[in-house]
Amino acid sequence: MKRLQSVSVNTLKTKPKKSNSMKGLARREKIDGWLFIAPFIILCLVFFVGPLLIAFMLSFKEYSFLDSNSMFQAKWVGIQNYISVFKNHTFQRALLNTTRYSLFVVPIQLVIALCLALLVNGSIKGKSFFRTVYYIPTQTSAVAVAVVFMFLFKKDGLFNKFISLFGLPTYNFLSEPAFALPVIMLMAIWSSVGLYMVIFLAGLQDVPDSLYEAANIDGASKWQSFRFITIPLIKPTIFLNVVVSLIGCFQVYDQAYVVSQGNGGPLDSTMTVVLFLTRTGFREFKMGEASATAFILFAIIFILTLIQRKFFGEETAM
Amino acid sequence: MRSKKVIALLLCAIMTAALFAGCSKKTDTQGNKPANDQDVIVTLGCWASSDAETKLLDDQIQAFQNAKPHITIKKQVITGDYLQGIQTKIASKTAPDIYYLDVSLAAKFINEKLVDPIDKYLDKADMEDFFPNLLEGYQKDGKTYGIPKDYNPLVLFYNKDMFDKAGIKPPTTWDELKEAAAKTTANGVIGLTLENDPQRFGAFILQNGGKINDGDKPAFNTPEAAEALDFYYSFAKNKTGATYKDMGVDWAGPALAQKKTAMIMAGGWVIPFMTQNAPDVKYGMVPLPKGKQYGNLLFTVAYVLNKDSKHKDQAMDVAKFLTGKDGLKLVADSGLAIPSRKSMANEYVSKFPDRKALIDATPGSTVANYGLNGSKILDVLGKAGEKIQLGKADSKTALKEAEDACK
Repeated sequence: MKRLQSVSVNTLKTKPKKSNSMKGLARREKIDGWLFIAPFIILCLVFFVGPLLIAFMLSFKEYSFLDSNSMFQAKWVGIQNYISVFKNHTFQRALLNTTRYSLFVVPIQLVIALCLALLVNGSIKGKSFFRTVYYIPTQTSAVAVAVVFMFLFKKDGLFNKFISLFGLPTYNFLSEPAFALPVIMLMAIWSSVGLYMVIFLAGLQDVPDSLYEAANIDGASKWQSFRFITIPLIKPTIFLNVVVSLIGCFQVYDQAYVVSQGNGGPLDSTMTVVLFLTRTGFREFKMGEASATAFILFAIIFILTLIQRKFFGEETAM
Repeated sequence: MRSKKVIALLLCAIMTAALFAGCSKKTDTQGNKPANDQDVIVTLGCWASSDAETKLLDDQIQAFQNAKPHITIKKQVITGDYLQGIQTKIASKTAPDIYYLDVSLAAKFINEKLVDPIDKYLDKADMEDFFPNLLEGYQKDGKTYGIPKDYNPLVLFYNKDMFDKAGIKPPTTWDELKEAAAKTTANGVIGLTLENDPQRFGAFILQNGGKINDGDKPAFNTPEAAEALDFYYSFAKNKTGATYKDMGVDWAGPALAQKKTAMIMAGGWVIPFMTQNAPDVKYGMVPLPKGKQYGNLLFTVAYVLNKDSKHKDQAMDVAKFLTGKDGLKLVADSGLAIPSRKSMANEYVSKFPDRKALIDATPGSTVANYGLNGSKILDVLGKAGEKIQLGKADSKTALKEAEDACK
């Protein structure tokens, strides 16, 4: 009894003390935690969130970098910037071009990437060699790729020499409005297919072999096991790839810049939304309209991603 | 244990601080001591160019340093897109004291009051030595805002061998140009190289008595301009002319160097390119042929004075030296560009007699300043050219559409 009492007294005595130190520890850990992520958080705030907010503000102002006023003193113009961007014929053309570009590039590039992934996922000889080879174009800078493609497709370039062997007419692909954008599409597909292949490959390797074995025993054909096992199981990967590829496509800039020497020609056929944005901001000195363009592009990509999420089902949400 | 934590905390703090180390504003300590104007640093904004041109500027700077050691010139080379680079510098108030400004941007920069009028620093008598049509590009309401450092007019470069073979002389009129193009087009060689660039075909509009702009407004939707474009693109129709893109090269220079064409319209910038890439090609230069009258474009770059400069007097000392007789003599001797002073032009011709055409082409030419909406005007005119060349519209419609797009 006496002993017990002393124990209980002891616990009574130590309990608040202990919880106090626990609280202190938790608080210290919290502070340490914040301190450890501080470098990233500050970087993110200064170089990402801050500019984002400022750009959003600018999209409602009339401002150019040449103004003697600072951007905070610039005149508010409401949604005037958005209206004039939508009314701009060059922007309409740019949006059309970018949409056409994405509609072609995304499906073709993903189908090719999936086929390549299936190929190098199988048990063919030298598969790591092929994996590397298909991935290399992804590592090449877009500008270098554009220069090589310009060399291939110019008037006396290799491609024209090749088709003239068959008696076909030669074109100056890069200054024909009908062909300039397709050349850029081809360039984009070729150069980024490897990236999506690698992501598909990772998805494919997560599919357990036992499922294929079971299907095989049940007499499923190769196509059936692809259609009913592979596709459903890599659905999250497909979703991810579609989203990433679509975002990349809507932001196409460097290839178009190099091919058209920065002006989106011939006849605006390679004018993309981002190219229009930089031209508006830096050549025509309308930073407000350029920022508005950026947020229109953001809204488009955001809505498209939401639609895809609906389409692929909630469970694939990243 | 405790000391470890202190160290970890310190490291964290240092890492965070390090992120901003680069952001700190560089203050030149000398600049904060205005007690005497000794040891002032003047920053000079320029673009990155070829090694030879970089060396020329360095030599000029060196010559200045020898003459006035108490002012130190610091070059601020803007790599990549110059206009984009200088804009960000202006917006962040870190623009150099004096900087290069292309004449096509002069109207905009003057209108936005980014550059100061410099008349009070200039010696009026001395300014008489500059080509007046160059200075015009940097003048507004009777005030001068920049001193041209060098310039280039357009001239006709022609392949001498091809002309000898065809038995013709360099053209001096539109008719002769037509004939020359027809006679030199043979065996895969195209007579005249065309460009869908108003900075080239604009010269033809001027030669036909037309205009590109009237102050800040477009003035190209006229019968004179349409006629000029009809003439310019008639070469494409007759297959005696083609764009350099159609010849499979990146600009007009290589078309001449690779003997794909007999004639190109270009400025002196082609000369170093030809010396380096095609020493075997014999070429000559003549002023552009005349239409109803002589007309041509002048491309120039000037030093302008940043309105926020802290050392305006010293900065103008630098600008005046670099465009002074001694400074421009170095330019004349290098042969890389044509000095903007008449007196140095003679120097240039005596050193490079075969380039006399570049000087002869200067009087009667218009400086390439297209007013406040210059970039828009160039943009829509370029598209008009593309439309005509691709056969999508005739000159009249294309120019009308271009004018509408300017509104």
